Amino acid sequence: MAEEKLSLEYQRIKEDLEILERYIEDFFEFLPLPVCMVNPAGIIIGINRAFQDLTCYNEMEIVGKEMGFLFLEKKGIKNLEEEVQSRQTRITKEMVLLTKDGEKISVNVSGQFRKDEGGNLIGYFFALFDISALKKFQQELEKKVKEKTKDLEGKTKELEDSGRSLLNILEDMKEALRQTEEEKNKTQAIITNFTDGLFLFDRKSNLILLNPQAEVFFGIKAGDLINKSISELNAVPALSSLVKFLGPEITGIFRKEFQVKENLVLEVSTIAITGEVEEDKSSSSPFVATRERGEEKLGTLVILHDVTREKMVERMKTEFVSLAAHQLRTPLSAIKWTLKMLLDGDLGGITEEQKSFIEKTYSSNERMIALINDLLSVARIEEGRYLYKPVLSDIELMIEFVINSYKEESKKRGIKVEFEKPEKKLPLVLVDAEKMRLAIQNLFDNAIRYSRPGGKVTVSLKGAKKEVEVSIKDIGVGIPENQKERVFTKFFRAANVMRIDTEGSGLGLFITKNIIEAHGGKIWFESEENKGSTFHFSLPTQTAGEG
Amino acid sequence: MNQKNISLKEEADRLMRLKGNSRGEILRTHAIYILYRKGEEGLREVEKKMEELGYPLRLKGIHPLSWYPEALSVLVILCAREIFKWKDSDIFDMGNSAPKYSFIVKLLMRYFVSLRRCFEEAPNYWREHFDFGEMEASEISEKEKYLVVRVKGYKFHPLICNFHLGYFLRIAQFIIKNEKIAIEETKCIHKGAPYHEYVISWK
Repeated sequence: MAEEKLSLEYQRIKEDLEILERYIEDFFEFLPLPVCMVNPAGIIIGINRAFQDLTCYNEMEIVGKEMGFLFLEKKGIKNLEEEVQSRQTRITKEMVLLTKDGEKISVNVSGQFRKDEGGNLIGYFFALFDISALKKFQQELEKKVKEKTKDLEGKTKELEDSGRSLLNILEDMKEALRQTEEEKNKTQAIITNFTDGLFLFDRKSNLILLNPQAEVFFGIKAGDLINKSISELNAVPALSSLVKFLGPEITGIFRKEFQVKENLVLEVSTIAITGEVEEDKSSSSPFVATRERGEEKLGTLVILHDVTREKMVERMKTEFVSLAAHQLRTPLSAIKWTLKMLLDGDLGGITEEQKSFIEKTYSSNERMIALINDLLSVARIEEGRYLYKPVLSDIELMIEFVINSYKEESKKRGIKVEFEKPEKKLPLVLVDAEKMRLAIQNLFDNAIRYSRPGGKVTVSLKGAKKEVEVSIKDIGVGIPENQKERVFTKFFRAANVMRIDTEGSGLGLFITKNIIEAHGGKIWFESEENKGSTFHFSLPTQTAGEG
Repeated sequence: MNQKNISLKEEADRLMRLKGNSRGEILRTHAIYILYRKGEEGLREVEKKMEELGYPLRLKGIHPLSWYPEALSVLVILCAREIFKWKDSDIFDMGNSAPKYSFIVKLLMRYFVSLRRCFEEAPNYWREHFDFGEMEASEISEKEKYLVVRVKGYKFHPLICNFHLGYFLRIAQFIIKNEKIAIEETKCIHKGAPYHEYVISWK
């Protein structure tokens, strides 16, 4: 009975053991973690399915072999076993698994030793964690970090290079700045010591520079006026007349006289400053500009040249000429009348020979008187007191008067004179009739004088909008091209006319021009040497009520 | 039945008349090996042959710790040899592979902590597998690198000597880490000796 009971008990234990074995086997096979069992000799005695899958070795191929052959680090497992045994705990090491397919897989190998009831080592469990993906990620990360580091090193180098370049640029800029400062100082010295007065206005007509000479001229201080607008300057008593003279635009003035006070006459010119601008607020010299055309206007420079002395000398000269002319005219008139009396026989009979000599003397005296009159006219023009009797006059009548007065002369020279009049009566002009006649006479005289015998002089008169235009055309010697610019200057006589006519003062066209311009008119000409000249002038007309 | 089957049948019948049981685990390791080498089809062929011989056996239903006639174990090997034309070397390999997946070996692994311990436990090891015969741990010299074990009272078929050669060698290979390890059957009960004697040596 007891034997039967023992047998049943044995049977039950055996069945339990088999169930347990199947359980362990199933569990072992299911376990996704690659696990192997190794005996104390380091020989594999069992592996699970996951281990087979990872290593690609089946149980038959791998059980009974030393574990070391599975790893790149041949002594790695041995060392791990020793470490596990000595430290009696689970140890994990990173190793490289060599699969049957020749693949190398990074794994973490965890080892745990097994003990029997007596604490004796009976083997090890080893589990493998495939960390290849992690390693790959880590390697990629390290690679990226390296690349980024390299990039950063590159960038750092670039930055360093840029820094060096910037320092070089800075050095260059410092040098350029120093040179600019030097130039500025030179310019400043020139401006400061310039004998002309200078006002510099910006594009908004604000005063931005005033040199010491300008301060002296007007008795002003730059510090009180800088950055003031032209309208604000108008309120400064010392400058108001200048501001009015300059006008709001401060342009288009060239060598115009401006009397500041009794003993100070300035010649004023304005220059538009154009070009690129870099305004430096800290600098007293705000412009770095060129005067190239077509560029933006940056401001205006007003140059005030002191011409007081020149004017005084000129005035004294004019006064002298005027005085001398006056003093000469009286005796010349006396001579004229005496000669006239002699020629007319009022003082007794004279021989033909005597008459001839006296006529020549009379003629020379006449020319002398004419010259003196011209000199007086010039002196009066320069004194600014030439016109004094403007009246409404008929220009047509004036022209006819002059033509008629030259009838004999033109006939004598064989020159045909033609006067082309407008069909309609022209408006009157407000002129000093005597002076205007003189102007027409000067032009007509030149036309007759410089025409060849058999030539023709045509005088035309026509009306235009609010003006009349007179043209006097000859087909005479003309004016050389290279001398045309000087035609209206004092004492000018063209080289070709000097060869054919020794008479003439060279003052006629100067006087004429001044007369025409003094009446608000314009004068101009066209000429070609050996073909003739045409002189034109225009005068503003004056209708009833104007004036 | 052909002549071969008749002789195998006779052999089977002879074997089955012999007394002695072994653990089902031995049959199970046979099954695993056949499955490994020849697959499911091979396993079925062996089962079919066993059935033809009059000793049907479902190899996948073996209880590892139950006792089965040792004759069945021997007969399975004979069938496999006949069906698959296995040579002695295949039977040796079958025995050499068996401990690799033996549940009992894993259970007894606690004996495998050292060569001497393993050697000393050999008789118990035998008793865990067989209810007949015995194993004698005859001699060991770690200095001279050899050991001698003897199996007494086991006389089923000479073919099994090859199986045991492989089996015992594997057990030694579990303990001795040496590639040049050899086993030799110096005495065989089938050759008139009173027991089987196996000498394992290594360098």
